[in-house]
Amino acid sequence: MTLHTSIKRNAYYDSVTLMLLSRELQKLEGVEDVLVGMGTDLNLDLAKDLGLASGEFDTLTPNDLFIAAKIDEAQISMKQVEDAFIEQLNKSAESDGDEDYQPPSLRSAVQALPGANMVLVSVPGQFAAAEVEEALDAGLHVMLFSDNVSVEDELRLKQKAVEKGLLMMGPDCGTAIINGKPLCFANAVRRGRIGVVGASGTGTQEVTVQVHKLGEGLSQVIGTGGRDLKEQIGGLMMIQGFESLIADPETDLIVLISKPPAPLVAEKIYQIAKTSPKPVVIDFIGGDRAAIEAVGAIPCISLEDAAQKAVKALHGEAFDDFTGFSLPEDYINCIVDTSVAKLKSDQTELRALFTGGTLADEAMKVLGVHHEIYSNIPLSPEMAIENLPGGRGHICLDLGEDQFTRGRPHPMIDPQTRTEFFESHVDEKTAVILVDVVLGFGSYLDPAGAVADSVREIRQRLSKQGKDVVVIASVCGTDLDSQDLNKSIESLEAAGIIVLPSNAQAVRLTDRVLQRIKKGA
Amino acid sequence: MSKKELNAITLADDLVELLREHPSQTALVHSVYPHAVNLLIREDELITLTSQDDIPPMGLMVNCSTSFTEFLSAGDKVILETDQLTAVNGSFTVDFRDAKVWKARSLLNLDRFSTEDVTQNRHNLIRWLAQQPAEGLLPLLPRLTHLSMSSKPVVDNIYSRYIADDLDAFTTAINTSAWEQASVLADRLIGFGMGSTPSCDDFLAAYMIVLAIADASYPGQHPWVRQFNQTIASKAKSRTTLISANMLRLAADGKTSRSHQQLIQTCLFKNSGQLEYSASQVMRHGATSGGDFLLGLICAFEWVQNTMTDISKEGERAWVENNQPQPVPGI
Repeated sequence: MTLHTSIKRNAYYDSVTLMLLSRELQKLEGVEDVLVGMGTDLNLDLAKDLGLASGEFDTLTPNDLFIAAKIDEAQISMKQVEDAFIEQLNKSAESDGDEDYQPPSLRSAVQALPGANMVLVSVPGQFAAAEVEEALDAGLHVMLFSDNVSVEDELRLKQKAVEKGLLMMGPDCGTAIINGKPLCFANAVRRGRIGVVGASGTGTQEVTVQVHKLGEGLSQVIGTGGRDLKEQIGGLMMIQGFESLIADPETDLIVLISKPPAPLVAEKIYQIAKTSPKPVVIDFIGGDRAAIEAVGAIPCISLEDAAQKAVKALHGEAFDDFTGFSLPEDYINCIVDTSVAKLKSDQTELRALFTGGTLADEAMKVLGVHHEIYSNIPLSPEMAIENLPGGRGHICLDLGEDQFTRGRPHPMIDPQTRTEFFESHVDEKTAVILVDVVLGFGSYLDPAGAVADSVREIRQRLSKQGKDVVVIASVCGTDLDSQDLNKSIESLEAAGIIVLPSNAQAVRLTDRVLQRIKKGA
Repeated sequence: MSKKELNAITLADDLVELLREHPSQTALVHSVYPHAVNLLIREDELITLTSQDDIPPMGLMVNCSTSFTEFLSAGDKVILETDQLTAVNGSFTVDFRDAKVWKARSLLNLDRFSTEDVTQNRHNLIRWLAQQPAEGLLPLLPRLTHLSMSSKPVVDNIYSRYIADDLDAFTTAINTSAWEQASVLADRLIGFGMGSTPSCDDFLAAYMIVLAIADASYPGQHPWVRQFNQTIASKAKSRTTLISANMLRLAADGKTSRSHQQLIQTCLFKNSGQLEYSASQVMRHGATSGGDFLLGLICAFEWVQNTMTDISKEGERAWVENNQPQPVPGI
């Protein structure tokens, strides 16, 4: 074995590069030991300790790179070690070139990807408007994921987008599927002939999932942001998206989803629907059914109903409101009977813990007919959670609201928030827990597993008081989602959770159980 | 080759100040990486051009989508003016006129976390870092935090094995505020490790920034900090690479890159961001340097925890007292 040192004067490489090179050199046949580093005194001390120092070390400065190697010259020469170093260095430089490139600005991103025509903006709200403006000026469609953008900025930017014939989806737009590409939170669904414009994220996800389950597919799914249909914004992007889908040759039917719009905005949309050459299904959750029917559009009673009517209308089949269950009525009655039978007489309250805001809205709309439901996103101000009498009663929470997500991830990304609410909000008075489990891109790796774990812990806690609880869930997901729909359902059912095929059905079952409890009491 | 016309997106405020004081000067290209270039001025000071989404002190972020190595080589000369940078050989220009200005010192006019929150953030950071590949000094995470991590065996490397005792002694000295001893022990750390900024320098830089913030936040409480930081910076001039010596000189003054600054703010001040995201940004931009910096930060936060507890016992002096944001000079 002989010692050799190769020196590269004023050579600068980052530590990752040198570490990788060092490992590669160590693997060479005939290399017993090797050290690569900058020629600082301490690194040279290390080389000496390892028995790798040679006379050449005296000429090194901290700004020189050295390769000190102990080699068997019968197998390899120092020249070959140096050549291997250069070869690995070149490979490393090539991979550094583009793979890890993170453009620092929109302009450089566009330069790096010529031909791109859409930009997803996700920067702190105060900087978002400037980025969107630059994108629109460059002729790019925009999906604006950021929130905390002012209404004034939103209006100005959407007006500019409309003038330029572009989409400006957002702010706070979390769901879109453009040309088959899911953006932010979206499920893996097949492509097809139904186009969706949605002002609500999980509402849009639920409709697209149900369409997929019914064997149809989506052409485009356009988000608008939650404020779009308020009077100040005037539904600019709902209208822009709607007209885009009317013009889109790959779309045969259009679904519009939103909370009830401002009356003037609704009227504008109805007028477009009236002249639309394509069938239009409208689910303005709790919207004006007569007004929708008057313009020849199809009204809906739930997100699932919207998907069913869309698919049937597309196939030219007749349809009615879907108010029931996929399972036979006898079976549902049996579930209600057995569920109520395991509760004690003082267990009367609902705890609905949603990660999706629109799914929570849909639940309150149905449950509110027979029960007083208090919430952080109440359907009417008097039902605000702060007004809950003595802290006791039915509660439905949207855990994705800002008040619960400040400084922590959305509960669809990190289930910890809901886990904590299971601990703090479920007690001996709780009769029914209602939850959503949202799969898809952007969502947690195993949301069903997290819910199942929480339910097991709750049951263990309640069992000490001789009690149990009814847990009802729906899974918003498809067989193509990475989290695996079937495995998610199995995981929930293994924890004794009743799983229904849609949010609407889960809510209806909850309503039946609560009514039976009320009747029994 | 056609001339590249680049635009600066962001300039560090200390660079802006320098350009105003010295409106026209020649700089030498010192070192070139695919996404960063160092320019040498005044014998031993560096200015950094970067095309990545991060900016260091004395830096400028430019919109360059190709590798700098394609049109720049060490030894090239450039002319620096107040509103542009021009290569003497005409290969490229950088226009500064539309650039935003970024403050290279951490802003301290924020609500600080309680000792418990800092402790919790430190624990979260340790937990997160334990999941990252154990490169550079990271195999020493369990030892330096006195925590048992997991059943996962730690694969160490010759550098971390060699320096373990010295790092341990250094952190113990700092945590007991034996700063003179720590200054001496730093001799065993400065310049040690691979790369243009050797691992231990990144580790020390984290300490120096946290100490500088503490000094600015609790004026007069730690009179030794400035001398300690200046001693390390001064020693670094002859013991480590020029790039690293510059980093430590700036750290002594409380200056660090934007991603590092963001992470420190997230750990110490309320409503400053999401911890794991900020930590991953540091890891992404610095690779093992990022990991070494994070390890230093975790160790430095132990000192912060102890210090904050001591101070709260004395009667809670304000963390942010006397710290107004620095005025931003225009170009």
